[in-house]
Amino acid sequence: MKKNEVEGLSPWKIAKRRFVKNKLAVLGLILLGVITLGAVFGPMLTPYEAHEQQMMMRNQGPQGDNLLGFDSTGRDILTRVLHGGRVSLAVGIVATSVATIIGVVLGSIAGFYGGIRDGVIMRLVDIVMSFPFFIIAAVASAAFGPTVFNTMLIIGLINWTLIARVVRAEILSLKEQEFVEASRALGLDNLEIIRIHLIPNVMAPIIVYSTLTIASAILIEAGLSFIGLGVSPPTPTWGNMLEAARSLTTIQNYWWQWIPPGLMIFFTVLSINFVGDGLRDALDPKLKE
Amino acid sequence: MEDITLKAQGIKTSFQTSEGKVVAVNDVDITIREGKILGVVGESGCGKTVTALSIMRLVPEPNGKIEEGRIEFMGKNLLELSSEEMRKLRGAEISMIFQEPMTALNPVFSIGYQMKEMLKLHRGMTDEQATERAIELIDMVGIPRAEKVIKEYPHQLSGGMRQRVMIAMALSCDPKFMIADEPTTALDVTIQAQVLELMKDLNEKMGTAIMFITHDLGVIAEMADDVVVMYAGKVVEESNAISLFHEPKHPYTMGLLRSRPDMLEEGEELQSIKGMVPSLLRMPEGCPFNPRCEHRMDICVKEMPQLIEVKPGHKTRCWLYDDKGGK
Amino acid sequence: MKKYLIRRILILIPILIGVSMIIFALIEAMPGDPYSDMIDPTVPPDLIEERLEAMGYFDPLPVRYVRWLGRTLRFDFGYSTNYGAPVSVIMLNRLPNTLILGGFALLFSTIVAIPLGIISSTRQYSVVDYIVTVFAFIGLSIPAFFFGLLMIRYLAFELGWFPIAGTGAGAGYEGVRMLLHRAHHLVLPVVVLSLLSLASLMRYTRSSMLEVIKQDYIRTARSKGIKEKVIIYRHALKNALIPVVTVLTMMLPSLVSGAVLTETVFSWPGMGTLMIDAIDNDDYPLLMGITMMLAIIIVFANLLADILYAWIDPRIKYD
Repeated sequence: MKKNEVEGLSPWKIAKRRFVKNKLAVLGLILLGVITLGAVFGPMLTPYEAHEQQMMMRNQGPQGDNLLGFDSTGRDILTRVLHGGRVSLAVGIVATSVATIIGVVLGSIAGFYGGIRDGVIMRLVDIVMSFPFFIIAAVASAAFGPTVFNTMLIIGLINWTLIARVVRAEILSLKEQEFVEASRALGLDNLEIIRIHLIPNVMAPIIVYSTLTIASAILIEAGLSFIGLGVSPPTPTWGNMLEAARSLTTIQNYWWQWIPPGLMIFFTVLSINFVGDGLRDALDPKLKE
Repeated sequence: MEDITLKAQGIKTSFQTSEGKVVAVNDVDITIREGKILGVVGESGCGKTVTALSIMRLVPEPNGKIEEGRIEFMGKNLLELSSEEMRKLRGAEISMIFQEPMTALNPVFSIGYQMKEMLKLHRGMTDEQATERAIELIDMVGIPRAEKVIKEYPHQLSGGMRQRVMIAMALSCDPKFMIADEPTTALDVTIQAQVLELMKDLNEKMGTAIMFITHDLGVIAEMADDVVVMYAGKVVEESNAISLFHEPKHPYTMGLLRSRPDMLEEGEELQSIKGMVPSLLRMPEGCPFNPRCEHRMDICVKEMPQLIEVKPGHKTRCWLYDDKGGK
Repeated sequence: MKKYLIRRILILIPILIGVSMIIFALIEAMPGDPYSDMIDPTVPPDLIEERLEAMGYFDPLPVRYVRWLGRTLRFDFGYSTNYGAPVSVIMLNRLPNTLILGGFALLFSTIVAIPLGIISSTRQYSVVDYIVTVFAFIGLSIPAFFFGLLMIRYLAFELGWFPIAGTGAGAGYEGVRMLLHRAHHLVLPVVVLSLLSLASLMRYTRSSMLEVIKQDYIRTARSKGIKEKVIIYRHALKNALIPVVTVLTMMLPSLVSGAVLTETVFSWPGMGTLMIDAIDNDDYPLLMGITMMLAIIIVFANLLADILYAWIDPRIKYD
């Protein structure tokens, strides 16, 4: 009897039900919500500005209102962590959107048309994949300048291969199915078939892998900014706040300058990974038993 | 009284699923006479395979569980053996071949390796002895160029060849008893006949008792000495092959016979059994066959009939033959 | 087998060409004039022009690309503008350090991750499985360099268990003592660099094993009376390793990326720190050389994986 109930639900409802049952995924979603709220509204609540320097307070530890102390130029760390969250999350989301668009377009072309187009696109994927991500990003950022916009674009431009491969594989198997033949018989052209029939059917993996791509984009931004090739100061991001820790003195003596942004990256990426994993389990029909 | 190779009594095996517990095999008795072939027939989902896996004690854990029963083999109750004792019997005294020859062999090991592994394990052979024996066995199941084949990998062989390899492997340690779970279903018709013939041949030559599972009555007619008909986890009819084909008792068995053109007597009409096998989750009350039965009576929807002997050696589970059923 | 390898090698050629074009284009796009650093500032402007001309600075882009590629194939990467020495010599000085770091990280993550993945798959939903899963999530989520910084602060500074930075070379030790001294320096960088690959390898091994254990041939092996240990570690593992090898090769680029950050954190004199040096100093020949070198390493590591593949999976060997 119970089985009937489940069968009556739409796939999205079933997915939602499975997702809610996954404790880690729900925990991730809550954590992510808190972090996002903090990044969006937090800066409005602190009495300091991100660039405001209090010379007397340089390298001072946590005290009074300044829960996380000051950095080497006397700026309030908590304020910068909250501002940095905005930038880091924005870079993650925009970069992932760029990557998803490229990945879906190229992946569907490769999967649907096959032949030479598939060959060229897949070779391109091979080239980008066989190359260390980070190094292209570093060189590109050195070439075009370490701005927020460039960082978003660069990370997006090299991070699309996973999505392209997934979309291609899904479309390859989908296009063999009868409803595609049927719509062709009904007179739909290729673009319409891709748009109306194929893309909606590959939405689930796109959502899953986009989520996971946000996590990797945030990590790449952090790494690039850490070595000074991502977003450059004074704009705060979690990654470039960690750049302070390239000095051994800071590592040893001023933990409040680098541990908080590091932990923020960790918790953000962890919660995104939890959510992504939960989505995969919830949406992947292959796991349905 | 003939010698009995294996006698299973009251086997009950259940599975835990997301929708609750399902009893796949319920109170099943199986008796296999020495050196004979027992055919087990029924539609898919009737519990044939689970019965076989229960005898092998290979019911997938942790969801599957043999709840009750007793399986007597070589003077021991298999269900009481430790898993290590059971493992030593498997392959050596009881072996099994499966439906899908394409996936039953490990793709990354050579045929020879997969055969020799057993011989070394159960018979303590050296590598050379095992190689020699493997070649002999491959040869015995009618595969040419045996020396070459043992160096090959499963993907290099056809389905029929692979099933022959499986048979050779299953018989390699001279087991007393072998289970064949739909061994020819996945094969082409012509190959099917060859493989059946081979099995019949080996059964006679080596005296290995076989439990032959199939949904195909034609195969049963060709192979089996005794037959068990299963429906929805229960044995519904049990007899020797001749009696079963000439005087089927249970309406389900009759239905099965009427749905096969080659089984019809002259003047009879080809028919299929109406309806579908009930889901194990939604078993009807009473006799599980009642929704599809053309002889349904009031009692059929209320109470499960017992397996009763209608004539010597021929049992059936149907109210038509029971005093309580009104006849 | 031969055919398969030849095909794999042929595929490498367009990949290397593509990679080299991307590198060349990016470096062309960089600001600044690399050649100006090479020329003495007291030289009069018209002479500078002449020198640049002589170096081929004004040639059209494709010509410069072909020339650069031709030299690259002969392992001639030009002169570093910053170090004033041949790029190949500078790289060969640094390469061993990176290979040691990366090699040990790969080894360490493989020998830890695969057994843990297997154990966690054979005891699905047990405490061990749960711990392994949580640990994997942490490893996938923590920025490796941040983890490295934490290690330096707590294990090196606070507890003094490990050295803070460097390779430990040139400490004047010899023989076994030198090896131990260097190994001591290697521990933290290797652990940090392994973290990400360790975590993902563990996850993949686990899910691959879970998939394989469900297969028919595992049931066949059980029906043959094979010991459970042999079934898991021989019959199942050899099959499960096939997708794991793919993952291993896909991890190599990220290992190289990770090496850049790890080397920075631990002041490890390898290719990664050299690359950042080159970027900071607008040392284009060096930068091109390093990126090309890394690409070649990765591409050949991929080839190695293809061979490994064929060795594990007989279906490839005979195709």
